[in-house]
Amino acid sequence: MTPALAKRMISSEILKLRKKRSTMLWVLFLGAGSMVIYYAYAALDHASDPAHHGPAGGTLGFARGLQGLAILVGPLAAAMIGTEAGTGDVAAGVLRDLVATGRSRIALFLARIPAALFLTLACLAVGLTVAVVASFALADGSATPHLGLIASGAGWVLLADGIVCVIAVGLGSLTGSRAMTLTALIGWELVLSPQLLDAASFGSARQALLDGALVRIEPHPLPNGTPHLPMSIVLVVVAITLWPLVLAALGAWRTATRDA
Amino acid sequence: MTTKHATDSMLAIETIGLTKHYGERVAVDAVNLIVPRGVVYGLLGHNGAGKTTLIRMLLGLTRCSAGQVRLLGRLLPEHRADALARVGALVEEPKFHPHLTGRENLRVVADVRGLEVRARIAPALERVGLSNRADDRVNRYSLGMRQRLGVARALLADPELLILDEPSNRLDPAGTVEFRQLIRSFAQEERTVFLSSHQLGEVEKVCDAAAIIDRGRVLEHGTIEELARGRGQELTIGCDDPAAAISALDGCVTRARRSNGILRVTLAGDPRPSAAAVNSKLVDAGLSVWHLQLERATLEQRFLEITSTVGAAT
Repeated sequence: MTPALAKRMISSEILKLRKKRSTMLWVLFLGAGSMVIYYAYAALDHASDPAHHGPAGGTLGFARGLQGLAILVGPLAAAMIGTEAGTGDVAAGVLRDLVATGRSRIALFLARIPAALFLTLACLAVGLTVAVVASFALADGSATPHLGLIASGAGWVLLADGIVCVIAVGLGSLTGSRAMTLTALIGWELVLSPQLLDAASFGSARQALLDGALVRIEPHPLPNGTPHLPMSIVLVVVAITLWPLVLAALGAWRTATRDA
Repeated sequence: MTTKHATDSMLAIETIGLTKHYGERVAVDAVNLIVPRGVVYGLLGHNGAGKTTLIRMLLGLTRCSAGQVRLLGRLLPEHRADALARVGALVEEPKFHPHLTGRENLRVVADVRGLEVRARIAPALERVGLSNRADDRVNRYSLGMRQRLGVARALLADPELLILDEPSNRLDPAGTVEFRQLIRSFAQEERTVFLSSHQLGEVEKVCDAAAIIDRGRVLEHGTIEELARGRGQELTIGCDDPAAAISALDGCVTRARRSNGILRVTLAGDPRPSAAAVNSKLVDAGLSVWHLQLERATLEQRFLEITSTVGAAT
């Protein structure tokens, strides 16, 4: 397959995703709308009681926005797009028509990943822009984030949510079910993973958790944020590589072997 | 139309011992099928006879449990991509992304097929009469329109071989006639059309040849005329002494029945005697013949005869 054909296949995947209006609206709301709401609310809090509520913006406000995008709303947005990309063809019943073209099933699977990543990261870039603008506009005299923090923060958010997106594509392709994939991912991201991270009894086994690895490389940790696990950078790299790789491999395997 | 003399290059489809098991159940049982190029070939069978499973195996949508498939002379799955590049297919009910327009749905498949395929979208839509609705979302299409869009999608391959699974199932009578003309037009363009159907009349009208499949096995195959005629040609005879007529025709009929003074015989022998030869024999025997008619069996009669024989035997 030539690069030009791969580009065409990816652009078709993007078309399928971006035309899914309900999903795209939710993702935009989660990625950008939630940031607008958060900063507006924090700004109102600060305006009404500056003694108890610090400025919405500044370095601390920026770090809070980053954490929301990387750990809370961003993964939800990434999971929605990734799930749609992973399950869309099977759910619509068109996988058989794509398979019947003779194109490799692995190629069909692989085209989903860059398409889902492109849209996920584009939506989150809007959210990041909101966070950067708010951190300066609503600083109210406090220190504002420097360029290095903005760059590393953006990289961290895009890495964290990109990984979740790839996992969602893989899991969606594996299960073929939107409901099952989204329930599993949201349950894991919002309930199970935080609980396991907090469970000291699991000891070093927690180092295998993706969220532990992502929080470990957080560019500007919050004073009362998620506690860091004592992980080496090697383990961080292993965790953030293996999770998407294993799920993507499972998704590819299922796409290659399922009855279309 | 299925012939032992066909060479690989002349064949659109060739299967050898094609088998599909679902657990203990055998859905397709050692099917040997030869479809020459340039014909409209029907796969005729009741619902659940194994037609769709066979088609799904031809297209690589499901794995074969045993056997071999060659499409357009290329062995599957080794040369699957090459073979399917010139195969268009419509399997079961046509499905699309409902949130995309007809044109966008075709674009999705065109982009998977190859760089030059987008240029075929507009002609394919034109061919099936959907140009003016191509930019409507598919969730606003009727079943008939979806069926036509499915054919347009199959045409994107510029197919040498079109595989259509129950293509006129969801069409109204006018749509069915239109569809029949479309299929015949593909044959005129020297494309091979392989279609499955349980509608006997449809197969009889549109196909050059067919195979009859039941319980996963191909029971008979041949041209429509051969299939309808079966192994013998029937002749009805009206004469003054039917018993004497049976004696006179000894050796050139295999079966004779009498009903209301009319004798119905099945002609046999190689070469098979003509009606005129039968008449001569009867006249030579001193019989007075006042009615002689070759009976044209319908495919429907033959199909029911074949499949009921199998049903009774199992």
